[in-house]
Amino acid sequence: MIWLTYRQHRWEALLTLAVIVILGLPNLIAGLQAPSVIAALGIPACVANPNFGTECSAAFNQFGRQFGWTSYFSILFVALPALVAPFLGAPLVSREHEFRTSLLVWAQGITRTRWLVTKIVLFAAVLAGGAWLLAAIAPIAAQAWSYRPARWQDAFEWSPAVIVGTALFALALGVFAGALTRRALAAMLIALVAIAVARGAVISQLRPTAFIPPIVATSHVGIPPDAWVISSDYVDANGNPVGIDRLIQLNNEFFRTGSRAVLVSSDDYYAQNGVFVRVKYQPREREGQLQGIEFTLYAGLAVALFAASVWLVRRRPA
Amino acid sequence: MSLALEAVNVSKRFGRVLALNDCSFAVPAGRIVGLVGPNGAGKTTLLHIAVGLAEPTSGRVHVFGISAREDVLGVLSRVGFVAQERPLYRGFTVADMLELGRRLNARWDFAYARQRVANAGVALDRKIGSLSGGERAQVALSLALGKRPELLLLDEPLGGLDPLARRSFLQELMSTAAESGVTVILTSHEIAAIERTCDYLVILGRGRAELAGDIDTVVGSHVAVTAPSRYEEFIRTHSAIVDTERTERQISALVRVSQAVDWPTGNGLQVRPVNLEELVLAYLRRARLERTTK
Repeated sequence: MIWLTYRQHRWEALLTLAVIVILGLPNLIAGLQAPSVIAALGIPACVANPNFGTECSAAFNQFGRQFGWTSYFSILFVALPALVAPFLGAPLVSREHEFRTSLLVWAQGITRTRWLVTKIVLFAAVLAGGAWLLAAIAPIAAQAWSYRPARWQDAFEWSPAVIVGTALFALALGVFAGALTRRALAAMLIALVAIAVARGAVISQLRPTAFIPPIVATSHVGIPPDAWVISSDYVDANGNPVGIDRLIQLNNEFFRTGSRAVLVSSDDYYAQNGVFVRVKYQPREREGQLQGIEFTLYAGLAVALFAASVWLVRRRPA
Repeated sequence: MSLALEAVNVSKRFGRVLALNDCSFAVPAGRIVGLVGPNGAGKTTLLHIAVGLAEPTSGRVHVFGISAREDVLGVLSRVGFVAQERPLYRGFTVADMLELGRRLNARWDFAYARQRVANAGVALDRKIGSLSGGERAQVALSLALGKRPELLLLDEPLGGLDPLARRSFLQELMSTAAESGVTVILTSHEIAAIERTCDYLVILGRGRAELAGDIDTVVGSHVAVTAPSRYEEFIRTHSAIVDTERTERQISALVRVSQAVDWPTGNGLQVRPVNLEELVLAYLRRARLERTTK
């Protein structure tokens, strides 16, 4: 069965690795060059000083001219696992139905369960390896994406946990959609839409607030500088949001009364008037924990979808 | 007499359609069986159930006493199956296909499969996609025979073959069966081919076995009767009418007789033997009539 999987899908495996290498390599080289270029241009000093001069603007522009193209590649690092997996996963079962070869291969001397489980395990292993490779070069490639070091909440997106997790989840979605529809094209479309929706939900909802409830601070003071600030708004004493009109009014009063001289920040003036800042953030210590939860979610869903695919293939007539 | 295949009250429902409806028949080992029936009679479904590619809604199909439902590997190790349109992997070479057979079957006679392909004049390094219909058929058959099956199931093996390829395929099949004693069940619409090849017949209509038996016996137990209408009652009491055609004064019937009938010939009543084609057509027509009147 291992031989058959290899014989049937060797070109797909090769193509997947080729895509990773061809798209990854130029960016990897750029990423390796970037730190010395950044240093040579004197960018660290510029970044540290908020009131930089024209020589810094020139340095930033120079960096952009040299490495700006890599920002397109940065999208690929994030999107590739989600794209590749449905292309590999969706045809896995559905193409056998489309070409009726299911009637050939399932009438040999092995069970359908063994047939599918072997294929899934091999696909998942190769894909996880490719994704891990992509994740391994991502931090180096990322050095060319921006002259500022990436913040941890941004680098989260190309961590091994997320890239490998996404790839496995997307593969499982593709396989399941193929086993369900028995049409490769339909399965691909379903898998692509589903992975986009799922990723969107994870990035915008689950990761910032649902995995671990964020810390809520009532002042900007005390928030670690490397914290991932998720939201920041103003509330009254009862926790209800304060309208923009009231904020503008308070802000005007703050400057008009010259309170600036006495108080540290406008937040203090607001607080005196019953309006409190509310900041939600995730501290950096939670990085590993958040990644672990996200990977577990993807991997868990993938296992469930693989199991559902095996069930479908066993239950339904060939 | 051991049974190669036995269908016991098999029903299969696809949504609202009842593809098989309480279908029962048996096939003794060592025969070459023609399984005929109109499109949609459930022939393919029955073969699929036999090898575990589909599950019956109720009832079961035994292959040498084993049901695929209980022991699918037990069945698969003894049955070679070639599906309709003989699917093969287009990108594979012939050698790859035989390697697939070797890798996926516990019992596999590589030399035999290779020899068969060579005899058919198909080079091992050719791509499946480049083969002619007849060559594909030979490769698919060799793949099925490579596991040295005791039962060979062929779903429309003649479909898409030109007359020459048909002929050589059937000859190959018959000599293989004679050599190895493998039981063969094939479905086909080609009654002439079945007449030449098979010695056992199963007619499937309305999802049920209309008739099953040794071809010579079956043909011998049916006659065509043409008589004036007044003999209809006589015909009915002495035989089982399969199919009739009536004009105002005449009745033509294909009937089944269970014992020798003393036909009152000479008064306009004529009796003659039937051939296989007439017989099959009569049963198929009856099946269709009963379906439309139901």
